[in-house]
Amino acid sequence: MTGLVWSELVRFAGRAAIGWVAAAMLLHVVLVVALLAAGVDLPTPAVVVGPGTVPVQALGSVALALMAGVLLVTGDAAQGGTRAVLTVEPRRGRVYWSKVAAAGIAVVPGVAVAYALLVSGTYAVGARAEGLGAPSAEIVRELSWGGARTVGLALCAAAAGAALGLLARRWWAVLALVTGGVVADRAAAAAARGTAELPSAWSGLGPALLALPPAQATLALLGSTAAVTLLGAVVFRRRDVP
Amino acid sequence: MTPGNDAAIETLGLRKTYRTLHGRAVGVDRLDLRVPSGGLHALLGAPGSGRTTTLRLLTGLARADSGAIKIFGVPVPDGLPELAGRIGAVVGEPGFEATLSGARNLALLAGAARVPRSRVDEVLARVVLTDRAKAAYGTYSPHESRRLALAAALLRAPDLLVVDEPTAGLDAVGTREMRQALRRLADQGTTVLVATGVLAEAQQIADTVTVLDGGRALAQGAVPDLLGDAAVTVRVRLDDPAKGATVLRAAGFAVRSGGDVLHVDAVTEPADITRALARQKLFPAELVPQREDLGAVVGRLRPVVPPAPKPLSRAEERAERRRAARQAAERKKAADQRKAAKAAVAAQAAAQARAAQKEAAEKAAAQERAAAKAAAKAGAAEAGAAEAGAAEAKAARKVTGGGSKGDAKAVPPKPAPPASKGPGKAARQEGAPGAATAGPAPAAKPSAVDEPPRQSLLARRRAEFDAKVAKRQAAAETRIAQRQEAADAKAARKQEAADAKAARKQEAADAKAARKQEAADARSARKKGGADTGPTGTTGTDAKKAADAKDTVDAKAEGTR
Repeated sequence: MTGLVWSELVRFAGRAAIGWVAAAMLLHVVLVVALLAAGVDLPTPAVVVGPGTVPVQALGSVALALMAGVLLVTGDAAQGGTRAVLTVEPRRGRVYWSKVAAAGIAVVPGVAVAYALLVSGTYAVGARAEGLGAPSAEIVRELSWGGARTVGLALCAAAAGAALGLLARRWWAVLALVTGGVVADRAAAAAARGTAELPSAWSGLGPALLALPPAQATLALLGSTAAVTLLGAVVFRRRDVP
Repeated sequence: MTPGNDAAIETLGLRKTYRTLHGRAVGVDRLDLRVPSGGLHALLGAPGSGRTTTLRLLTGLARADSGAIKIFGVPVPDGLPELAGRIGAVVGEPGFEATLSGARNLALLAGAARVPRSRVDEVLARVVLTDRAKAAYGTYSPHESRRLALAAALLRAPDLLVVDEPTAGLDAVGTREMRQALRRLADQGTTVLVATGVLAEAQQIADTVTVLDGGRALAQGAVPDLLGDAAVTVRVRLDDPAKGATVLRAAGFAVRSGGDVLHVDAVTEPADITRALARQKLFPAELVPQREDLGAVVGRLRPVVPPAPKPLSRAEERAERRRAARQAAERKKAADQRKAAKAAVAAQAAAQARAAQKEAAEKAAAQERAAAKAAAKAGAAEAGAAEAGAAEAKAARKVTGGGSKGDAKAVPPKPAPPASKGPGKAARQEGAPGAATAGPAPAAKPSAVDEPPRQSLLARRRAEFDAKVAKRQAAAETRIAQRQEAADAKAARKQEAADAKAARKQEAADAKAARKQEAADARSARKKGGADTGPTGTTGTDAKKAADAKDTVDAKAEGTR
């Protein structure tokens, strides 16, 4: 299993897609910090990170982690690799879980680095503008926990993305599915707030899932990830490999 | 190497279909395959014959709809984990990473298969790729790429090697080297299963062969038995290819028509073709013996089956139903028209017959009247003549003094003919058509006008039939009219009921609207009265509602913050 996961990770590292995902994460961080520096009124992570929450700016990295998981298993190269692996390791369950695990592991460093850059940059901008001093130990602890939660969320998203990619087989189909899901979630949030204007719903603090208490949100997140990955496992065992 | 007796691969009734836009396409259909252990076995067939699908089913990349597979006696795909180290396969594109070297790609697969790293170098040496092992896979030629894929399949030293299209896209040198490599592996004891569409390849390297067509095995056996090169295909060009094909088929040749040339398959002696054509005064412009190609082999092995009727699609079925309905309607319409025309003709014939009867009767009566008149005139004339004769005789007797009795006897006066016979005689003399039917005495027998005219048997039957048809038609029309009346009455009753229901509904709606209007008026009147009392006149309920609404707004604002 370790050999399979390592094989997937090395193969993934060799693909151009992972480079594009990393570049997009960096661009996202730079964009957020630049907007803050330009005086756009965005809540900084230091402000929004509270017990059990994830900063809304970090959700961009989470979305990119999901796409990384999808790209790990879709496309000609990925499907050819799956075929080649299955000829030497015909146990499909092992191959599937190795791909899901590799997707989760692959995004951890990228998301962690992106989060660290994001927090550092936004705090620096805030400190410069408002004359804040060095962050207190409590703030550092909260930011660290926020980072851990962000990485965990990205890991789940990447694993679910890999499962969705194996289910749908095409990255654009997954992208459309996820985009539709997010729009539906925002629409539901807008309806719950009683506003008819969809844009105002985007000014919230993330998906409705994150509005739950931390324990419930964690359980809901893990449960939904487990459901998607198990569904992918069942389908992968029975479906023809292209 | 001579193939062994036991089977490395056995399939029974293997079937695999694919879902397409136009329904399900059959990849493999009830395939019974037996690959002997050891040696090189070729799956030979044209594109679409099910070669690759068979390999995918054998390697577990695809699941069969039905049927069974056994590889080395182990059922597949359930037993594939047991066979993990015994099967190597090159099916489809290998999926190596272009940015990684060939050796790195193999090392990753070796790590996944838990094969020692040293094995990578061994297999690279075996496929003669050691020099290029460090180069990125993206820089490999198709030939090198194929060899690297073969090396990957050999990583676990398999007992069964499955290779799909081993020489596809390779140049002549690469093709020869790949064939030699596969042949060497087979000679070393590995069972090699190759899927190919090249007849020469199977003839050169395979020990046994299975010829596939349309997902089915046409034939299995040793290559010399199935693909022997004794028979050749002869290309024949003639001025009249159609006639030539007829002549050659009559002579027992298997002929395929290819435009202006004919292909004669499985010919052992090409001169026989020339003889058969020359006997019919046909002389080929070109006659070229060719080696048998894959199409000829498949055509030779394919069983002759009568063409099955093509199943109709849904749209075609609908069109067929519509066409049949239209034809039925046209037939019915034509039958109705024929019936109406027949009835009209019958009615016209009956009218004509009646008119003829009436005319004949009138004519007969007129003739009878004319004959009676003539007879009366003749009687009167004869009586006058007799009276004149008698007067003359009397005058003569008076002149001669009574000695002339003998003269009187000699010329007796003609008795007057009975009145009854006069007309008949006159009529007979005139030869009138209705005279024969006229009675001798109108007083004694019924008149000819009252009697029906005599008709032939056929005419009578026809008239009876026409009358019967007319009667039935009249009865049918009556029935239809009654039914129509009943339907109209029923529709009218329904319409009345619907109108009554709508009217009741409208009344109820009007009453409800009136009640609502009254209630609204009453409320507005109460409000007006309350407003007159001033701002302090708000009811307790209204105050409570306003307070609740304010609390809700405050709570929402707090939650947003």
